[in-house]
Amino acid sequence: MFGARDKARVASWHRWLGLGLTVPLAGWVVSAAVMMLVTMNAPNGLAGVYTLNPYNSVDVRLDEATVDPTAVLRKLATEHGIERVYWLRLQSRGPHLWYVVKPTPYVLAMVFDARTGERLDPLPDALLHVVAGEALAGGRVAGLESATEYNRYYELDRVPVVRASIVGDQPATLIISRDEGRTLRRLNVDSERFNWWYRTLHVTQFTDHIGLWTTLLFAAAFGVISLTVFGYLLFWWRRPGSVSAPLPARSRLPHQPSRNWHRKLGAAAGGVLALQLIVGAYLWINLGPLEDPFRGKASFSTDWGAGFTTERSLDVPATVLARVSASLPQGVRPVQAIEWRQLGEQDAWVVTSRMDEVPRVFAAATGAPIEALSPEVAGKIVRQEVVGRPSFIYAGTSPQLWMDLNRPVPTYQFRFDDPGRTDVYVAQNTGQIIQRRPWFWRMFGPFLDVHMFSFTGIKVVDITLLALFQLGILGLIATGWRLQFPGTRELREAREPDPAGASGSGA
Amino acid sequence: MSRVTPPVPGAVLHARGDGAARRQVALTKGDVAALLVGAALVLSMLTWFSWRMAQHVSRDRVVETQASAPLHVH
Repeated sequence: MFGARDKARVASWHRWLGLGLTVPLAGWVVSAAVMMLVTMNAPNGLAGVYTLNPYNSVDVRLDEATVDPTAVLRKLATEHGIERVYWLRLQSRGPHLWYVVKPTPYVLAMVFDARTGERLDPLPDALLHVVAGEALAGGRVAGLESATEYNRYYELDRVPVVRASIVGDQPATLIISRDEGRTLRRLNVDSERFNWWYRTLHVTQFTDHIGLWTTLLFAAAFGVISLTVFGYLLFWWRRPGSVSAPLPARSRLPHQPSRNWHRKLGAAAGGVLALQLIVGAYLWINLGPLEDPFRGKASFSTDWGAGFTTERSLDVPATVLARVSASLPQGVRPVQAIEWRQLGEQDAWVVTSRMDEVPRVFAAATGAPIEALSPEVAGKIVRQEVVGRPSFIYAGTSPQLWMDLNRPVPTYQFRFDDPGRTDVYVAQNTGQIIQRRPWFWRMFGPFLDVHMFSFTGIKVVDITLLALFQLGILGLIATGWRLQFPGTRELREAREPDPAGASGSGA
Repeated sequence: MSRVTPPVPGAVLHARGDGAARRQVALTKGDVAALLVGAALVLSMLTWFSWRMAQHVSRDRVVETQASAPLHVH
């Protein structure tokens, strides 16, 4: 089937592919080891643990707003042509008092000064400096850097953000949106380190040009899979005694142990390597080029029409505060935010008395607290936000991590009959969607477990297996290079005529 | 046996006489062991993955069958 020329070509391809793909292959192995070490004992994984600032540093009463919420709605209608809004929030940040408007659940917010009515978004660095300084307890801002960020809650591909370096009690980098100053991501030393190794050496995404880098990444993966196949062919062709086997004279050369190790390590680890590359490629397709449908963005309703109209009137902050004060914890610090929101058929106020806690919800008609919406009401609210408003089933309750508070909140789980069979997790009291998981995200776990060698669930066993595999691959790389560059002494010996004439006899 | 010019630069080929056909061609014990280890690892991973995925899919379906009773909105 394969002639001598074919075998020689395969040998050549194997050699040059191996040499050429050393950097990506070693990069995958080393970065995997680093990422494993970084996350091994990290509490709460990459999400990290942070103490959020409970109160604004400046006590600003919300009823100091001179612009009332109804005036903001009129402004939206007349100046911006907006007919409906998802919610309207009044909040304090440092000495500032802002109205934040979310026109639909998936778009960037708009911000208006609550004392002048002036539009503030996109927030300038000076205001984002204030926001960043208020985010973490005991933190102050060392610097801001403009960037863009992928986020699953927005239909926009990249959200304009600043990367705020925080120093003090909790050194961190905060990714803060430019629209309203929302914290989209928090990075501590561990997650920054993980992120660097992951993006630079594991998935080789050096810039935001995902198509380019993914093509190069997959070309490298395909190259290594080909390298593995060629290696197995050579393993078979060059078995001892076969026509293509190295001459017996060469077996006396000092680099012969490298050849033996290369053969055996390749035979043992090559199949696993090829399998890992196929699984890794599947994972990256999900987390990279297909991240939108993976994160549930494909289930966004394109014709969302819930919320409330900009023609209506809203209660002023003083009224809201007076109605809910008896139900709030009594303290000296003012309420941090009021949000006007439509929850199904009823108007609601979402009141934040501490920025590090889940807000409390009140029925606007009665002022009575709403501990939790019924699953029926929550499901109908969420249905408005799912493409095609499909039928759904209620699938129970569970706590889910909410990015804004970096902690789990009680949610209802609904499974929708949209094309992605999406599971939507919604906060029980506010009806806010916390998480969307289409079916192929739900099937992601086994692939990730294989890629991470999470086979037994016993950390020491799984890590040992992974480490052995990684050492095997590094050994393959080292012995491959040794075979290609055996050193001048070895080359000289190989070129010298064999005094016993072994190379000529073939015996 | 005589040495011949390699068709691809860098490759080393050896032409052998008819006697080569009678020479025993076999993998060493070490080669066989390495191959068996490799095959066992790949098969174990594929088996483990299939079992885990089957478990995952059945759990995902259970959510639908158990949850449809309390609330099913069309």
